[in-house]
Amino acid sequence: MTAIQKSKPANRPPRPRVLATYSIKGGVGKTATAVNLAYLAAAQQGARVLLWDLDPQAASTFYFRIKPKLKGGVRKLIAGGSKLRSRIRGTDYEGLDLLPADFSYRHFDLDLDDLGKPHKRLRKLIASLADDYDYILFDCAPSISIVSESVFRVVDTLIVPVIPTPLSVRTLKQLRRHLNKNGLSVPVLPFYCMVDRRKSLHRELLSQRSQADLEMLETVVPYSTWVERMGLERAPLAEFAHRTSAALAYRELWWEIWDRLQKS
Amino acid sequence: MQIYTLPAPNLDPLQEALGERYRFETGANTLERATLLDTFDGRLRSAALELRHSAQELQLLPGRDSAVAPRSAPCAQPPEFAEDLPVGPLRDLVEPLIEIRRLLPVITWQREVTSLRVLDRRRKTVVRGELARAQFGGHTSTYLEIRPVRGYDRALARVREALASLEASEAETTEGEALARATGHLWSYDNKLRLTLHPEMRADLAMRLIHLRLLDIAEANIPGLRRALDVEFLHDFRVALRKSRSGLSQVRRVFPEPAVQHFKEELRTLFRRTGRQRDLDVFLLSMPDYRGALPPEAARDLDPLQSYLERQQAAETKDLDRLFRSQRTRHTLTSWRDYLESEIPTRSLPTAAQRPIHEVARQSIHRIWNRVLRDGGRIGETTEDAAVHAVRVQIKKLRYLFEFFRSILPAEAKTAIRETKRLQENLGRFADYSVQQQQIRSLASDLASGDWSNAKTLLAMGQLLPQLEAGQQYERQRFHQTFGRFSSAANQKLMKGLLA
Repeated sequence: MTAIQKSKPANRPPRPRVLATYSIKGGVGKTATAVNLAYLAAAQQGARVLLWDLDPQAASTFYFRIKPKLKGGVRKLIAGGSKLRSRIRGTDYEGLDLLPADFSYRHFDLDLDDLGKPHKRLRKLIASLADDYDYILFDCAPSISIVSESVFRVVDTLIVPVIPTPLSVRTLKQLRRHLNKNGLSVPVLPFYCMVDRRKSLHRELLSQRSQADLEMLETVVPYSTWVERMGLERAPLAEFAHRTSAALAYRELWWEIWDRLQKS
Repeated sequence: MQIYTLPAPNLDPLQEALGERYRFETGANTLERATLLDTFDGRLRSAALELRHSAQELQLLPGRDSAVAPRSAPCAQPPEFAEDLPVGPLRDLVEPLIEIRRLLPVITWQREVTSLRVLDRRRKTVVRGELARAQFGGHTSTYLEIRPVRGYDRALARVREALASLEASEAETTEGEALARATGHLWSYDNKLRLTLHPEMRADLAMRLIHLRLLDIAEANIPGLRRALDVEFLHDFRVALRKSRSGLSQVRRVFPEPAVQHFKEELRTLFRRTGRQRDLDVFLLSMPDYRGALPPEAARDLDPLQSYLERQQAAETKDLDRLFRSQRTRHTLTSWRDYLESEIPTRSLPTAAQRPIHEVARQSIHRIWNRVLRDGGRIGETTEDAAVHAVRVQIKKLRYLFEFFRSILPAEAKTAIRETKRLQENLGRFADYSVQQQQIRSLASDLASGDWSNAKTLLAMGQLLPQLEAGQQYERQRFHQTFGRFSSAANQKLMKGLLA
C-alpha cells in the first residue's frame, strides 16, 4: 500500500523547450510563423526565447533588423560552442533574442557532416543555453538535409505550416513517413496557414481537416496581406497589426501549441 | 536591468551626452497605476524581486542583486494566489517562492511612463528602457530603467557613461520598493526570532525579550488571520503562541510561578480555541493530495466533503474574528505584554532570574535533551502511538529551545540542531498521518449524520484510511533510523561538549 505523499510543486517542464518550424516545402509561411510565435511566447508569457535562424536566406534575421552576419560563419559556431553566446543578438522586444543566419549557412550541411556527430553537436549547443532561455525555436530551411535530420533529433516538437493545397498536404505526409521510417518519434504539430476561404480548393481541404491521419491543430491562420507587410514593417504582427485576424490566429496558435507542450 | 534616479524627467541632457552615434526614441507618454505585490512575509523582496501589476500587465522585475531576467505577461487583475498568476515562466519563478501565501498590495502608486529605446544608425534597438515619474504619498521620484539588449554591449556602455557624466545615481532597489521604503510602507514581518542575546544577560531579561518578540510575531498575524487572508497567518500566530508556552514551561524559575501558571493557562486557552480552524485549514490543504491518491472517479466523490469543510471553515473564520474581538482575548494579549514590559522586580525573585542566560539555557536544553534520549530510546515495535506522540512533543520543545538560544550556543550546535530538525520532521509526519485518520473518521460521522454526503463520499474517504495508515507506519519505521542518528555517540558527545 502506498502512502499519501505530501504534494510537491508540479514538475516544471525541462528547460529550454526546443521547437522548430519546419516544412519540406518552401513558401508556406514558416518564417512568419517562427517570428510571430517566438514573439508571442516572450510577450504573452514573459518567456525568454531564442529564435535560431537556420535558413541562409536569413529572413527571420531580416525581420528583426539584425545584421545577417555570423562572425566566423556557422562552422566556427558549431565547432566551438563557447562562441555561441557572443553571437546572439537581442531583438527590439523584451525576452526575445535571435541567433542570426548568414550566407555561410548554405554550407551548414557540409560543415555538420564534416565535423561529425551532427545532432550531438547541436544538442550540446542547446544544453549550453539552458540557463538563458525557456524556449529555443529553430526556423529551418525547407529541405530534408543533415541539418533538418539533426533538428528532428533534438527538438521537442515540430511545428509544420501547411497551405490547404494537395502539394502542401502531400509534403506533410512525406515528412511523417520520413520520420517513421527513420524511427524519429518527434511530435509533429501541423496547422493550416495562408488559408484563403475565397478559394474553393482551400475550403474543400479545410472541410476535410478533421480526417484523423492529418492530425491538424485546430487553429487556422488566414491568408493576410498584413503578414506580407511584416517585411516592410520588419516586426511581428502583434506590433503593428495586433487586431487583424492573422495576428489573432497566431496568438491562438501559440496557446494551442503551449497547451500541447504541457501535455507532452 | 539597472535603475537610475534622475533629478528631473528630462532626457535632453542624456541625448546630448550620448552623442550622434546613438539616438533616443521615446514612445507614448502614459499614466498608469502600479501596485507592488508581495506576501506578508516579503518572500519576493527577500528574493530580490519586485512583482508589479499595472495596466493589465504583470511584471517581475529583478532587484540589484538578482540574476533573474525581467519577465512580463498580460494579466487583467492583480493576482491573489499562485494559481492566479499567468501560466508560463513568470509563474514558474514566483509560485515556488510564494507557495500558499496570498499576494497583498504593498503600495499602489501613480506612474507617468515613457518607454524609450536607444537606436543605432540602422535604427536597431540597442538598449531598451523606461522613464517613469513615480508619485506616492507626497513623494515623487524620477527613475530611468535601462535594460540591455543582448549583443549590444558597446551601446550599453555608452549609455552608462552618459548617465555617469550627468551624475545620475544608480538606485539601490526597484521603484516600488524604494517608494514603499521612502514612505514607510515597507513591511518588515519575519516569523523567525532573530534575537542576539548576550550570554551574561540575566535570564529573566533575556526571556522577556524572547517572549516579547514572540508576542510581536503573534500580534502581527492577527489582522490577517481575522480576515483569513491566507492560512499562514493563523499558523504563524499559533506557532508563536506555542513557543511562548514552551518557553514558560521549559525555562524554569525565571518568572514567579503564579505568573507562569497564569499566562501558560491563558495562552493555552487561546491556542486551543484556534485549533479547530487550523485543523480545517490543514485538511483543506491536503485535499489535492487526497484526491491524487484516489482513482479519478473516486476523487470526484470527495466534492461534498470539500464543500462541507469550506462551509465549516467560513463559519470558523467568523468565530475566530469574534474571538479576537473579545475582551478576554484582548486582555490575554495586553496583560501578557504589560507583564513582559513591566519593571523587573528587585526582590523575591525566582532562583534562576538573575543567573546568566547561557547557564539557564544550557540547563534547560540539557534537561529536555536527556528526556528525549530516555523516552525516545524506549520506543520499540510495539510501543503505543501515544508514547511516540509524547516524544514528538518533547522534540518540538527542544527545537524551540535551540531557536531561543541559537545566538549564545557555539557554532557546532548546528549539527545537533539539524539532527533534531530531522527527527522532528519525521515525527511531525507520523503525527499528521495519525491526526488525519482521526479526522476522516470523525468527519465521516459528521457527514453521515447530515445531508452532506452519499455513500460514494464515505467510501472514497474510507479508501484514504489504509493509505494514511501506511504513511504512518512508514514514518514509524523511519523513526528508528532518525532517532539512531539523533542519539548517535557522535551527536551525544557533541551535545555534552556544548552543554558542559
